[in-house]
Amino acid sequence: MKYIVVEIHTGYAVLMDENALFVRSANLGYEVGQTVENPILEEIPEKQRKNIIIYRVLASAAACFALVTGFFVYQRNYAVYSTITISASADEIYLQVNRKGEVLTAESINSDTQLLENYDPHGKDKITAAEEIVQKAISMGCINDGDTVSFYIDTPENDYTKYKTEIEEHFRSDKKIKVDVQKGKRSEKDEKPERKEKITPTKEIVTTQAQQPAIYQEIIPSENTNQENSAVIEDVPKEPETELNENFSDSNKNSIENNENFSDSDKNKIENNENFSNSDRNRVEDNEDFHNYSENNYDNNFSEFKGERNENSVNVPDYSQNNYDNNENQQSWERNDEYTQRDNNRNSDNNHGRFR
Amino acid sequence: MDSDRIVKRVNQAKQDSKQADMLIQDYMPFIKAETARFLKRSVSESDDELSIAMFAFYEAIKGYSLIKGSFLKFASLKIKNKLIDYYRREKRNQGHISLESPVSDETEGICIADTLQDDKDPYEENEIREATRQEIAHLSEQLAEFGVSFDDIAENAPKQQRTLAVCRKVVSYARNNPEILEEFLRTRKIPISKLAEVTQAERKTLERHRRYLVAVFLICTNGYEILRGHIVQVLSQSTL
Repeated sequence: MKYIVVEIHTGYAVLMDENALFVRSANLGYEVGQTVENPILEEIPEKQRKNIIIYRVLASAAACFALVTGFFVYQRNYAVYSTITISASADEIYLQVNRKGEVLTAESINSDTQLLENYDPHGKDKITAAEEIVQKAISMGCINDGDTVSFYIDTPENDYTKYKTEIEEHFRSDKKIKVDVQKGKRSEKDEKPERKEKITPTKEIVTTQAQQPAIYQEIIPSENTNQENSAVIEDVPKEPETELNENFSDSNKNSIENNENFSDSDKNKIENNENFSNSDRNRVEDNEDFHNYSENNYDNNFSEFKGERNENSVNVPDYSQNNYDNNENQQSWERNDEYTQRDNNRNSDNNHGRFR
Repeated sequence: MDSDRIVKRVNQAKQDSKQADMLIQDYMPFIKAETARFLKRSVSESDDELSIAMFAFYEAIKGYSLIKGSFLKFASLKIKNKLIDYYRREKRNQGHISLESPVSDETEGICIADTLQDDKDPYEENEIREATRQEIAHLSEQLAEFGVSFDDIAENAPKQQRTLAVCRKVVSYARNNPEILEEFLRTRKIPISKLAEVTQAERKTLERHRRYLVAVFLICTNGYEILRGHIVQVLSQSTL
């Protein structure tokens, strides 16, 4: 192979061979244009390419190895393998455990007991964590002498026996409590009922408007019952509107306000709920069925004022006379009672369908 | 730090041939010292071993990276290995008489080469060499218009046989279709898309070896008879 020297540099020369390839070689005193043979050429780069392939294969193998190893490490240390539920009378503690038997997470079903407050069993052995939880429950009074502590273990079959044996042997020496180990999760029938919110007899009213009460007209029935509309109009500070008033549907509100069949006095009475104390008003207004009141219900409600118990009305409080006696506004009840009895007779003739 | 400065210069020399020349020139004492240590004697400018050591130093510049440690140690190792390879190759010629050796001890200044009949005309060879030099200089000027140097072409030339075969196919097609070369000279661009479509070569391959194709296309145009004659075997192959 002959080469033509095409370029000279300090440390090398560029040659062109008969294959039109341009290569570098050692400059052994060459001159441009000279034809040379057997030059000392630059190292063949194909070897480097083979090394690259080897490196790529090794890198791929290393990546696969890391992936597989990472998967097994995750499965052993971080994946949930089994669950243990420690059930006492006051609370249940739900533990998630990995394959090594170490606790991953702990959850208390009844947060009131605060069994897990300032206590983190993460990373501890399941038996150690169970022991500590039980001891803490005993010290807090959640578990008393002679109580039975149930352990519900949800794990593959081959490990259940081992877990059961470990728990029973560990707590055997504790004479104060009895231990019951069962397989599986705590069954639904044995679940404690969910704590429901206690129903208080009265609710707090959240005022939305300014505290300055507005003025509304209270119609005080006069002593002369034979005359209609003989009420005495008296200015009484209006109690501020409450959010609970919004329980009335808009249609009902409008019907009440725009009912042409009602006299003004009656309209004011209905709007202002002058016959109700605040607590009583809330009870009625909170009634889900109030805006669905049928004519009968409306009449029945008014009959309540007369002291009769309304069986048809749902969740309508007992406005019997006995209750009136306990009511702070008993006097106004009595006064209004007479008035509503008269008006009830009049209003019952009107169309009360709007309350539906 | 000196090592940081050297590394910085080496990285610059990788990209720029002039920087590489300057680096070799600056470290000539180092190269001479390493050569002398290997030869166990002093070296002169005319020694081939020194040229080989300088070439080894250039290869060390091209192949150096930080993971290989100190550059000077790496270069020293390269020089030593290159000289060992050179001596192993020269070992094959041991036992042969050099043409430069004198005919006899009595005749001074007359070597064996002078006694051999040489059909070649030295004057003719000089003229051919001068003409070749001029063609190469002209080609170098044209390549500079394309922003390419011979060193770039050596860097960019196909190394694998498979890629070389593809480039040959493209060159053959261009030679057989002069309009391609005319378009190339006119537009100063290689019609890679068209060539890739016709020769069924990968566009990516042609793009990667664009500089090489520029040099060969130029050689194929008028004015480079000597160079074209040198690669006649390549040009005569037509695989289309």
